[in-house]
Amino acid sequence: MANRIDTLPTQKISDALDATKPQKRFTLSLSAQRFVRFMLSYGFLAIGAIFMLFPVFWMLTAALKPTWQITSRDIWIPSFWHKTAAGDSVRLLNLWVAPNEAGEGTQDVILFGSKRQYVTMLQAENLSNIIAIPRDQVGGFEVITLDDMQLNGLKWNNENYVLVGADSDNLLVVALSGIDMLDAVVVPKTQIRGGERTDVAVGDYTLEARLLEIEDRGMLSLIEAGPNIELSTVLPAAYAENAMLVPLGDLDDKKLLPIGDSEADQYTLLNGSTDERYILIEQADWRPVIGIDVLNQHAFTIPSTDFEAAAEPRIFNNGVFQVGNYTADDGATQEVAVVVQQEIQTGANPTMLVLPVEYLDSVKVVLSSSLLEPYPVNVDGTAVRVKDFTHPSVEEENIDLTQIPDEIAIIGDRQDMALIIPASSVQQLYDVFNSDLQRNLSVSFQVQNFVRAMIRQTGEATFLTFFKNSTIIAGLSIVGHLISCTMVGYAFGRLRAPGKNLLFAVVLATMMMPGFITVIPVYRIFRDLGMVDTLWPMFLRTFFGNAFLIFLLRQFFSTIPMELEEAARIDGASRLQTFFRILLPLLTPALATIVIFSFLWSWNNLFDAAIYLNSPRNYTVAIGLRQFLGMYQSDFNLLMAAATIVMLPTVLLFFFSQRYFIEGITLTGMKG
Amino acid sequence: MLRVSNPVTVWKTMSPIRRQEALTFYLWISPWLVGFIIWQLWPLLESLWLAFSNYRILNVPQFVGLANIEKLINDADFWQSLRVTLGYVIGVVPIGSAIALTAAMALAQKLQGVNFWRTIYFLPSIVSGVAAAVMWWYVFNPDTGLINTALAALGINGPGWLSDPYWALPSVIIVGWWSGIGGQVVIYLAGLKGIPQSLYESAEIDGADGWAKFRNITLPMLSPTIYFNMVVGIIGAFQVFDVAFSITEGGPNKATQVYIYNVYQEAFLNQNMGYASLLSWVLFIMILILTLIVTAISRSRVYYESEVEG
Repeated sequence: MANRIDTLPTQKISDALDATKPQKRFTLSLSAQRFVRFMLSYGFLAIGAIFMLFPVFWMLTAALKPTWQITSRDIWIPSFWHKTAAGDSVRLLNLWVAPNEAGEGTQDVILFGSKRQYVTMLQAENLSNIIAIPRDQVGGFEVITLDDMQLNGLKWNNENYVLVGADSDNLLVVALSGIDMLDAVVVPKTQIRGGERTDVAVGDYTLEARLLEIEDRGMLSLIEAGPNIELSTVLPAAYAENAMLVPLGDLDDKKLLPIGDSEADQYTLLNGSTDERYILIEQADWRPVIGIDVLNQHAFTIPSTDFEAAAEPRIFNNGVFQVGNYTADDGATQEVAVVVQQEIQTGANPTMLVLPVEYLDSVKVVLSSSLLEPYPVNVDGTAVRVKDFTHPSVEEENIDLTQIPDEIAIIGDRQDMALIIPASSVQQLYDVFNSDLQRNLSVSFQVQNFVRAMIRQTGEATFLTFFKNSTIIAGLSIVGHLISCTMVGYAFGRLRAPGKNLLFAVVLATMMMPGFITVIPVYRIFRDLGMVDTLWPMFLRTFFGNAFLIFLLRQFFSTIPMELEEAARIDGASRLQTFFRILLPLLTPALATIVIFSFLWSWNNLFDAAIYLNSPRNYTVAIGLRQFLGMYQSDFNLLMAAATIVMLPTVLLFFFSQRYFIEGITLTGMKG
Repeated sequence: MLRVSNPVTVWKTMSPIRRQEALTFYLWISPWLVGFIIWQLWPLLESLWLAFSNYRILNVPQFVGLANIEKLINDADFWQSLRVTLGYVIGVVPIGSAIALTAAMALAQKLQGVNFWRTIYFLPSIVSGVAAAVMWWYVFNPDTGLINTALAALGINGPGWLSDPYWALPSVIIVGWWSGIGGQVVIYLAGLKGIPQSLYESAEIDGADGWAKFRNITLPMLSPTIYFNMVVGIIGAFQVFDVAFSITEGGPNKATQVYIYNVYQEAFLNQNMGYASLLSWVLFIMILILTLIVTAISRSRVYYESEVEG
């Protein structure tokens, strides 16, 4: 009974609440509801669109990038790296943007070879209030930057400290607030190693310090208090025009001397004055090259025995060549240079390719790293390695291609060369933080990637061959489907015969039958026909119709009124005449759909290509692209260019005939 | 249903004109009929016979009884490929279908630029499987790929994706979503367009909110389309091949050894064509059973308008 009494008031309360509900219930106005729903819809669609489009964007940008940018995570847009010529050599040096020496504004610089490590150091005597913190109480370390100098910081009890030393259990720290950055100096790591070790007692603790001579401040005992930081030494780009290319062996008397605001190793030249010093910008492997035309016209192969070498090799435009006299059979003698020494085979007389010295004026030396992937060419019986610069890759951007012919022969021997600049001409040379150094880039699309991807050899074929094969197959598939499917679709749509419904049910049933189930017997048939590794298996079956397209056409045929055809028949037109003159023109949209789907299926057909096509000359783009994958492990830009090329026809087709695509897809859905 | 009567009697009762029309019919469908027998019916039966043979391309197939089935039961590759494929189907079909339906629902409410959005979603589904695989290979690249680059920008160290045994299958599933959602969106959109607006209007008068309308009108009316997309999705997902073939080659550690790739390897690399035929039939039967299950489930749930009208 008590229960009953208790429930009564609550009942009343809920009744009262119900009465107020219309007012209390939180409602948005109808338009606000719609707005929220639209915003949610747009948000969802936008996220989906990013998922759909970003991979494509990523692929396209990669296809337009030079190789080195593929691995640079900070470059999203394909860019060109600005360069400057190094003196009169063919070398192009990368330009960087760095703060200028005064720290006001920026300027173009080139990187001076060495990078040096620096450490921020604190004057030991001026430290006070050292605290020891047990190691296990310290959470994490972080680098603190103060007045452009970096210190090893750590947090403890919500205070910032700077690490200055350690003993077996404790870290020795000083509160950040207690540090005067005027005591701090940034010292090259190399100099620290030269300093004498000393222990400095500060309060109760002993710190390991180094005695170092610091300019303007004298001998100080300093302790390391910062991370190792790398600074790059740079010089303004304008100095690049003073650069000279000399054999590395000519450099002599290396000395570390101050220059500008930094210091650098400086050399004298073996044959030059001892007062003239030079700084070394770069040392690298170079090779002499000459236009292949010059060799084809003037070079000839001689037996080594007919060549009488001169005592000294001679230098042509920095390229070193063995020269000597060649006496021909008729006794005439001429001065020639050895261009290529034939590989000596046992039993064969050694021969050499020589070039009369007057033609060596056009010799150039270029960076060996820009001569990758040469191919052999026969010049008067001698194999010469030739490099084609018609479609240069980025490695080749390191040299000025306008100064050399498109096709060059690699001749002579590799040479260690040095790129130097007279020290006297350099007034500015200074160190900058790596974080302040940026590549001088501007947006640029490397369209030649597409050309290079298309002409690159894959086995015995290029991508152009794959493209040709795919086009042939797609064309024949379209023809096959057009002929067979219109015929069968017409019959099912407009003719009456016993068993028609049963046969049409079979058509529908085969639509649902997965293709893989018949793969092996069909392979047997094609093998017995001798068609494996030909294009035939890729299109032959289209001439026997396709269930989906037959279904689609039957639907179209059924929608055309019978009267139209009957009228023509009464006028005396035959069945074929009415078919071609009356029905087909009405079916243009359906035929377009057939063309589109035939093309799409055959272009994207990977499984059949994987089974039937074995040799590269028969590959389609689908299987050819897969072959590329193995070759282009590192050249992602070329691989992506190839993938873009494979996608392009289908995407273009889609944009020009979107309606038919959507209709075809919708129709498949609607029959369910 | 089809009425089966004696063809001879039917033929005899026909007028000459009808007979001629029937002959024309048989003539015109002959490409398909011949093709059906050569390329489908006969191979279907032959593969059933090959499934119980020791066929290895160069020999004459011999009946080996249940030896292939015995091999199948003990074949670790088969069970692995089955696991991987089921994982793929479960990952791709229901979730992909849900995403596609949500996108289609969003698009169906008269938003700006329906064609634009639809194009964006549909475009991936026409892209060649290899090209898509190659593209995603680069997107998934652990060092230089889009995903790990983006994750690195957020301070996250991304996994190895396609080269990581744990992440490889999820990666392939993501590619499956990418290339599969668009076609489904288009079909759902058509399905949604077919729902009479009057149903929603009368529901609104009855005071139905958005969820109630979705639950009681959209879902039942759309159920045939959902059923169709599910069946087509399942059949397609069981036959996934391109990424496994072109990028992962079933790896790493057989984590992406999908069923058809396993069949391909058995048939054309190991040349066990008899055994591969059995594998094909097993998959065929599994797809059939699964389709029947989906059909059975949907029979109670799928609403066909004609049921009411007729």
